[in-house]
Amino acid sequence: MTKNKTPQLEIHGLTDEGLVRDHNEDYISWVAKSGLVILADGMGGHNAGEVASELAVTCITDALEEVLSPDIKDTCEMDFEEVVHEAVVYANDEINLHSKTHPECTGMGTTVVMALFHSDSVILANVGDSRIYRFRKGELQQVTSDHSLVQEMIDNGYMSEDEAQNSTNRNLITRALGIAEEVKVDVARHAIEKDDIYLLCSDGLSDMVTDDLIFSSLVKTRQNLERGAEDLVALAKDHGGHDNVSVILVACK
Amino acid sequence: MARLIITHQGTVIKEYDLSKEKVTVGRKPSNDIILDDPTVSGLHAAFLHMQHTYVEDMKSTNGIKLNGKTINKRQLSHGDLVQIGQHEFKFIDDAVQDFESTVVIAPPTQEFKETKKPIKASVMITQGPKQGESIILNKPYTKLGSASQVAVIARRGESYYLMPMTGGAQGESPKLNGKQIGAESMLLGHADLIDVAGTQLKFIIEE
Repeated sequence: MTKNKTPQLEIHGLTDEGLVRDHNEDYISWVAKSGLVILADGMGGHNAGEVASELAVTCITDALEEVLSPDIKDTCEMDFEEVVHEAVVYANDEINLHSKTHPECTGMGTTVVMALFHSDSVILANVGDSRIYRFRKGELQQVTSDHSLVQEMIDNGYMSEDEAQNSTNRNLITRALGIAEEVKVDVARHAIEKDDIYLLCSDGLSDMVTDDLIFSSLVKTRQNLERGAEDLVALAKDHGGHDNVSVILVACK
Repeated sequence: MARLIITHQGTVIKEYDLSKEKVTVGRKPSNDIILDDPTVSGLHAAFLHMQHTYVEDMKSTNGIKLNGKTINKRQLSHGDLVQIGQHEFKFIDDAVQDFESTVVIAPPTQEFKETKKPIKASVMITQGPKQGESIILNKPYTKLGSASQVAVIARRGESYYLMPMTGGAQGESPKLNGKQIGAESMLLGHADLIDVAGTQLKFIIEE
């Protein structure tokens, strides 16, 4: 009998149009038995944004479906960081192909953040400005780095974190899926601990709500993730709700 | 207010506010925006900022591109991307800019680039219960075999590899051309034979 290598997880996610937009370009999905969680925030005219975000999520899910089947995931040693990387590159190829063959979708693109929980670690990948936070032992930490103009300016010392919070450039991102043939994907592996909570979110949350407020919300709701997801979406709307807002909470049991 | 965001190989170099009527770009120090880029002419281009903003090629050697197309002079719209040498200029018009709508600062997909002919690869079952059947390898990963023994073919760019599978219930690892695979990915060539879970498959590349 082989051991099930997907850690025991509790997952709750929610996506909402927000208060200003008339449609939702975010897309979220997860496969609990494979330990796979994905969130994408699409962009592009007409309805192309939601085409891009849905394609990103379904392509990554499809690409990983076979290698995440229990007969492989639980018995074989594989370089899952590379596997995740290739799945995101595949999604980029497919979105590009779709843009080329569907003129109404020209110029569409999407961010993506994903987490693959395997054994005692989680493999995280991101492109764009959607985020992953980790709540561990009473501390909240952003574990991905935004691919945005603002973040680059902070990294290069042109801007402080406080100035960034008020910058009008927050909507400018430097990487996305589906906008070029090549894509640079950040992939990282982190060790997980019991009672860790991972939050995947679109900028509809992180642009509206400070990290301190996200932290307070999680402190309050960490025993009830379903309510936690609702609380975070409500928080984003209370603070303007200018954009679509999506959250997925994953607790390691 | 209108601005230019200047990037080089995806890295933002600077932001330039268009506050005067004519802003010149080139390699010489006399320009308003100086680019240290051997593919840029001494005086390469000019941005004309009046009621609207225009970009103009100042008879440069290598020309300028607007959203991937070579142009001489054009009016700019919010979000347009101007390529000068190896540098890119993103035009941001704050009057138009919807604070909420995300804009990507990166080169657009090259529309005129010759599209790569996709390589079609498949494996055909040559021995086993489903002899004669083919599996098309159109995903990054394709699983072969069954619970008793599995193999994975990975597609990376235009190449295909048999992934190493170690440990667990496998016992023996799958075979490539009669040899058990080890801890390394094996590059697959046309007509290679894979043995997995009592089935033999032939790797086929269609040119």
